Amino acid sequence: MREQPTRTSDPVKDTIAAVITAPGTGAMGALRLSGPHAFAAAALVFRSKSGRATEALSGYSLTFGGVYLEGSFLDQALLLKMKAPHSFTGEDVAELQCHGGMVVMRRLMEAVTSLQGLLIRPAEPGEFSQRAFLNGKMDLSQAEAVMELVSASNPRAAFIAAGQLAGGLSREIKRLREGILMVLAEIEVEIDFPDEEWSGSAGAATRRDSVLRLLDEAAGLIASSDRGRIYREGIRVVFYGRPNVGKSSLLNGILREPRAIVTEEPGTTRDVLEEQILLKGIPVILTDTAGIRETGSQAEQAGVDRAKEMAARADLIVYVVDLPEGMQKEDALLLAELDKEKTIIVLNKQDLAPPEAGRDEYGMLPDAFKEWACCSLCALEPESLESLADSIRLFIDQRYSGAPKEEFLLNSRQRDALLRARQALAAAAEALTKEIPEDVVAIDLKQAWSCLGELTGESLQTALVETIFSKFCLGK
Amino acid sequence: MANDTRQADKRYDCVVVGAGHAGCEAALAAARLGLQTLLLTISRDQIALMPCNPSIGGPAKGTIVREIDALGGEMGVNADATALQAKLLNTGKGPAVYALRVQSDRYAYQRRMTRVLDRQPGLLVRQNMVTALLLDEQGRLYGVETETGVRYRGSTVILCTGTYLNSKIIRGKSIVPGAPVGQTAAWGLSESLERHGFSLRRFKSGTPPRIHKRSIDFSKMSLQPGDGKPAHFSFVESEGTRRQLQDIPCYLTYSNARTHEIIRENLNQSLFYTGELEGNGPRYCPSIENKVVRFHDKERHQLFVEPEGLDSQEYYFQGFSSALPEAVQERFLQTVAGMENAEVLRSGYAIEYDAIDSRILTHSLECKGKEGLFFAGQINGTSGYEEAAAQGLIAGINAARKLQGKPPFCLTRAEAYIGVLIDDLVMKGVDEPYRMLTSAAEYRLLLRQDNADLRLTALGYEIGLIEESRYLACEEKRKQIEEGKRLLEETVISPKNPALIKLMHTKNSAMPEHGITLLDLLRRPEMSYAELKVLPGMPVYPEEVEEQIGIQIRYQGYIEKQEAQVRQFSQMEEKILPADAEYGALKGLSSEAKEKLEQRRPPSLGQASRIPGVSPSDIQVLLLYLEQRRRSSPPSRDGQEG
Repeated sequence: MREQPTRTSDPVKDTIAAVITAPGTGAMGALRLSGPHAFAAAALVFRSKSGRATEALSGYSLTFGGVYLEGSFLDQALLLKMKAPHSFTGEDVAELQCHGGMVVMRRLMEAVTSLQGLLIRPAEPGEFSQRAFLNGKMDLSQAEAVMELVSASNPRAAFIAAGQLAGGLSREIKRLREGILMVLAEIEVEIDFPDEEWSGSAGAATRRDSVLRLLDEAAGLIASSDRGRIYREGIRVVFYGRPNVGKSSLLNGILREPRAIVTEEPGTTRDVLEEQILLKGIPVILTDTAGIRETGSQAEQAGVDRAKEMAARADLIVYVVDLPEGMQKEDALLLAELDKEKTIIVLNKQDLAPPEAGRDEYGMLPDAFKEWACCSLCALEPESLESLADSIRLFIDQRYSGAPKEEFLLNSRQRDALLRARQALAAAAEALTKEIPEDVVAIDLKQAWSCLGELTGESLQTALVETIFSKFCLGK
Repeated sequence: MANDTRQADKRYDCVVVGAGHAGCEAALAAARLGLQTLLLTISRDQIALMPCNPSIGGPAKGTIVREIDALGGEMGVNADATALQAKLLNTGKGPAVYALRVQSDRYAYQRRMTRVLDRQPGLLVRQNMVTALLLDEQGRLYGVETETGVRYRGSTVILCTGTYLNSKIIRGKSIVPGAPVGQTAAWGLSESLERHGFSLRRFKSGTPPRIHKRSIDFSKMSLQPGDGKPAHFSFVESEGTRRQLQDIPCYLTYSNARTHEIIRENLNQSLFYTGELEGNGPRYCPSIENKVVRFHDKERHQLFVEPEGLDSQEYYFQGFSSALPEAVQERFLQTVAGMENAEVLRSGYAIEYDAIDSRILTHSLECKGKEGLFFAGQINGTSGYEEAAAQGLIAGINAARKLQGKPPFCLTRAEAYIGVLIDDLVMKGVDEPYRMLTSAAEYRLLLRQDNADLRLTALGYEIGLIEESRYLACEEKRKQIEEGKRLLEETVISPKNPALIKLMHTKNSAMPEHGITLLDLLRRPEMSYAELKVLPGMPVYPEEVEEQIGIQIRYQGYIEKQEAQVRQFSQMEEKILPADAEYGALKGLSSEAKEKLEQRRPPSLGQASRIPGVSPSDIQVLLLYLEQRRRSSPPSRDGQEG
């Protein structure tokens, strides 16, 4: 049997690395290495100010110096060495603390994971905690991240202890679950005790209303968590549109540096390019994408597919239209697939637009898009870019105003569980309006309950039976 | 202790103790599977007694009866043959929770079951009270001893003692040893069990008064007839089980403020309210005292009056179970509409009895560490005739398989309500008499009463309790269902078809723009299989085949959801926990989980997850432990050879 290419070595024996500070702006960025090659890797990129060889530094030490990539200085840094087994993970751990910034940290990460002769790979989410757990350094209640990892392979089994969630969200989830449980208990008790005097069809109507209300509440929680996510991960703004309308120029203009290659040739951008900036104190990830068109080139087609994928995941789409060319049929088709609430139309190349008396450039927007957020500008003129920045700021203000609440900072697994709960509630609500029998709809409700339970760690069947007996007077 | 000069009368393969619903099924299954079987009962006149409601079935329970039938048990046929009326409950809900319940002639039920037992080759039903288990010096079970000192050697023993073990009957402050319908309590066996290391606990049940028919004013009650149509649990027809029922009605009346007042005034006369007795009683079947106290804002409680049998003048007063003194019972009884002049034939009482902790059993209902000893029925902490019968059947089957060197027969939670029942008993254990509820079954839509035959007949055939002809008929039914679904999917009806136009019009259903398959038409909630028969190409099958096609097509989406859940469940069941796992040394496990896992040593992760006290985060720890073990274990043989 051949070895699996993805698992070339014992995963616990290799060395992992990750930027452990949140993406975006901060006073500091830190990169953690854990495993047998952690110190060797640090030695290759770090030089102490005192000139002492990195290898010679003691097992538990903090040393000031600099990070150098291929001989050239990258950033000042502190090196923290922690020798196995007395480290967070129980392995040799090296941490490089730099001044940060996404660009620096990303380059550092790329450098350490491509060092010649050392087997260092990017850590999977939660993997440091997992190693800490496997090496007996922490118990599970401290290792929320471990569960995140496990949940990836065992969604159903993934729960976290209730106490691990900060109070607010936990309370909200519990309330939501209690609501679902009450509806379920009513449904179940009518099935198991049909002789009793229940509220009958009036009860069914009330239950349908309850499910709709619960669905709203779940959606509300997700919206709150979205706000939290934005602060942690940044708003994903995707530049989208047909080829050669100036998306890459816009990106360069906003970044004030030529990151994207710009040519006269339509279809120059074939891959996705991401850069991060700060707008109104919120990290914004700007994403340039390939122009959407029918193409015979496989490479370009791959870019087009990727662009569509990015657009689907975007928090905000900046749809770029070539103003002199005017709104094309393809533009209308692409726009029609987008969410009006999440789109700003940019009419680019304002400077080249033929002057037309008595009619401003917005006049060219088809009726269907008159209501959409829109601005016209010239990507090559820095001043005119301000109008787009204003539009994005306005969007942020409207959608993500207010300080994020700590309790709504969900990690991706929690968010996923919440999304699945909402989906199940939506299915239940729909089924009830279609008059599907309640005992069948209970399947959706139990699903929603159990997804939420992944956040609080309780089991359904016992709770349900308890509720049935505590709430209802049963005679038989 | 033992006096071995007394020789055993005879050696049996299987000795069943107790001839209630569990014992009858156990003895029949064992004998039918070829074991020389002895069934010992305190009274040959009270075989298959219904000491409480004279009825069989209802939600979840009715499904269990059909499962028993599909596996080759007797209860379904016996209930069909002795029913007074039948009602399909929950017809306003989905097909998964339709529930057949029959009112039984309890005397006829007993007579017929006795006849079946006595006519069963290889089975002897003998009257004698078992007072001790016999174990040799090595602790190996070899038989039982009776109150007359007779010893019966048995390679396997199935204890089905119901509510008789050290039972006491309680009314007011009176506590007397006794058992239902004036029988004696089973004495001696509890002490023997304790001597052999079993710990017993007291469970409690209760029953309402029986009233003389001539003293009831039925005109003040509302009539509760059956459906008036033939109905049956059994999937096959036998001696008169498909007959038109006489539809003897039940009646409904209510308690009132005065009833409740008298009860409240006299609570101090109940040992359960003075704190002198605890007894874990069933919450779903509370005494009228408990109902009045716990739900004090309810103005009235429903009470049903049910016939006990065609030849009987007794009526059962469901919902009126009481442990108050006889005189008090009569006072508040006579406040009920229609019961003003009620003559009580038997008063209500509470009964206390010994039960074991069901967690000492394996899924085959054999006792861990006591080979050949099985437990079934109320002694395991359940309540209900159907729950008892199901356990008896499984224990009887497994006693036979044990002697025949076959692997145990265990149903999973995804296969049958019986699987849910037994898994709950042996994994979770019970603190009060356990009643099967549909809400206990995770995969209820798959475990329907209508498909119990499709789920289990093949298993019953494999076990040896189902005849080949019945098995083949069931497979033919399965084939027809698949064929029917295929035909419905393949047959497209043109929107111009006049029959379709007419049907759409009469059913007020949206006219399709293009050709539409019969399958899509049947999916429409307003359409039924029968109504679609006006269309060309609509296949015609026996009614039960058409019913299956309809259900499977209509609920396909949800059935698929449940099937996906079953796959996840199976994955957890298949994750084997190593027998040598040292849970005490596992970092991250809660101390409660460590203790429970060390003590119970569940074979799979799925089972571990159902042990109370083992939390989801403990399961995470176990998952990680398994993963770590897998990674650190030497490469598998496959790897070396490849």
